Amino acid sequence: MALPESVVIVGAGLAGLRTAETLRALGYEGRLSLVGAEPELPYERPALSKEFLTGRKSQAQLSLRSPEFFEQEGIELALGRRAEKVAAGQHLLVLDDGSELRWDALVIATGSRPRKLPVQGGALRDLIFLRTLADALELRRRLDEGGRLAMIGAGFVGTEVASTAVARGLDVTLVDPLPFPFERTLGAEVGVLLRERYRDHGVDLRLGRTVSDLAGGVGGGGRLRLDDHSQIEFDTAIAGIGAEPAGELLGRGGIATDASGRTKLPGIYACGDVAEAWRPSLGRRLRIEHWTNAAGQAAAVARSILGEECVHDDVPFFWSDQFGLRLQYVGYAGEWARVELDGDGDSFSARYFDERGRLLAALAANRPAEIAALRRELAEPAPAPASAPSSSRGARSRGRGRGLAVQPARAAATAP
Amino acid sequence: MFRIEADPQLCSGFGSCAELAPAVFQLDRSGVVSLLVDESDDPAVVEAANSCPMGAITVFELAVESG
Repeated sequence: MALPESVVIVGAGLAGLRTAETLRALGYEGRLSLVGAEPELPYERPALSKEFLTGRKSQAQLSLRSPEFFEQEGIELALGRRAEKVAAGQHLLVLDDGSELRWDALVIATGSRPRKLPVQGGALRDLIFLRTLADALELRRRLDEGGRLAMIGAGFVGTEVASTAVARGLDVTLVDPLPFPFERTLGAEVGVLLRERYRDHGVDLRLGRTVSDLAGGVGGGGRLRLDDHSQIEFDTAIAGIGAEPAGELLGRGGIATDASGRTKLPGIYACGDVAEAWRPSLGRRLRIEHWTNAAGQAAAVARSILGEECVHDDVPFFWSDQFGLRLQYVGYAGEWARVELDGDGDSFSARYFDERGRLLAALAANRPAEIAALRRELAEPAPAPASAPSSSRGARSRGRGRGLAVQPARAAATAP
Repeated sequence: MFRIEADPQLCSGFGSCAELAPAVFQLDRSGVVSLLVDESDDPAVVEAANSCPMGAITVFELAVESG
C-alpha cells in the first residue's frame, strides 16, 4: 500500500493529537495537519470537571503538548477553525474560512458535544454546558462567586461538579430523572450508596424529577421548575445530561468504523468519542467516550493509515473523582443479570455478571488495588496486552509528560 | 536510554504500565505504581507513559553519548 502524501486530522483533542504524534513516531514523513474548532492547543479534557475546577491544576498544566512540539514534529495547526464539509471524491476538507485542505487520508476525531436541555426558557442562555476549556473557565468564575448552584443531570460531569461546588461551600441542588444516581450504568445497588453519600455531603437531591421550565434574568440567577411543580432558585445553573457525537461531517450521529478505525469511505478514518467502532470482543459496534478509548483508537488509526493491520479492542475504562471517592470502572455492561457488591459507602466494589455468570464489568470505589487484576480478568481470553495494539514495541513514541515529552530519538542520535 | 519518573500521587492503579514494561514498573499492594529502575533502554517505557490515563508517568530520552 502506498503511504498517503498528506494526512488531515479534524479534531484537536486527545484522539486527534494521538493520531498525529503516533504517525510521526512511526516515521511518517508526509504532510500532517491538525484542525481544531477550539482556539487552544490540545489539552487534557477529563480534568475540566476535576482538578481544573478544584483549582489543583492551572490552565497551563492542562496543555498536552507545547507549541514547540508541533513545530519540531512538523504538524501544521489550524486552530479555531471548524471543518464544514468533506468532499470525499475530490479528497478535500473545506474549513469555515473557505480554505481547503487536500488529504490522502482523513481522520475524523471531532469528539462529542453536550446534549441540549429539551426545555425552553430565558435562562437557557445562562445555562452552562461543561465541555470546553472556555466553559470550565466560566464555571470556575461562577464557583468563585459562591451562592446557589443548580446542577441538572447526575451523570459523571454533574456529580463531579456538584462535589467541587459543595467542597467550595456552595449550596448545591442536583436534579436527575432517575431515582438513584447512575442507575442505568451502575445499577440501583451502587446508586443507593452514592445517593446516601451525596446526601451526607449536603447535596439537595431531587431524584426522579425532570425540569419542566427555566426562568431567569440575563447575567445569571434564575429559577428552575420541576415536573412536581417544585421550584429551585439558583445563581448558577449547569446542565450535564450527556453528550452526542459530533459526526455531522459524514452524516448524522456517530461514525461507524471497523476495529481499526476505518469508515466505509476509502481513506477516511474516525476515532475517539465520535467513532462507533466495531468491538470484536463484544460482537457489536459501540461508541465510548473515555480517555483510554480515544488514546487507543487513535494509535490504531495511525497504524492503519500506514498500512498495518491493527485492531483496537481494549477493555473500556473510566474514572471519576467525587465526594471523596475515586470511582474506577472497567469493562462494559449495557445490561447485566446479577451484581455482587462488597464493602460500604467509603470503599466498595461492584461486579456485574451476565446470566451465565461471566464477569462483564466492575466498579471499584477507593479500591485502586483491585483495578489492575479486574482489567486483566476482563481482557481474557484475548492474549494481547490491554493497551494499544503494539506489534512493534520498538516503535518510537513520546511520553505524555507536561511539556517534558521525550525528545525525538532522531534528534538525540545526532546530538554531539 | 530513557529516564523514567512516576508520580504515585497521580497513579490510579490502572496497571497498563506494569504490563507493558514489567521490568520497570510494578504496582504495590495498594495498587500504586513504583519504579524498579529509573533508567531503561526499553522503548516500551514510552508506550507505558502513553497508556497511563492519569498522566502519572513521564519519560525523558537521554542524549546518546558519542564516541
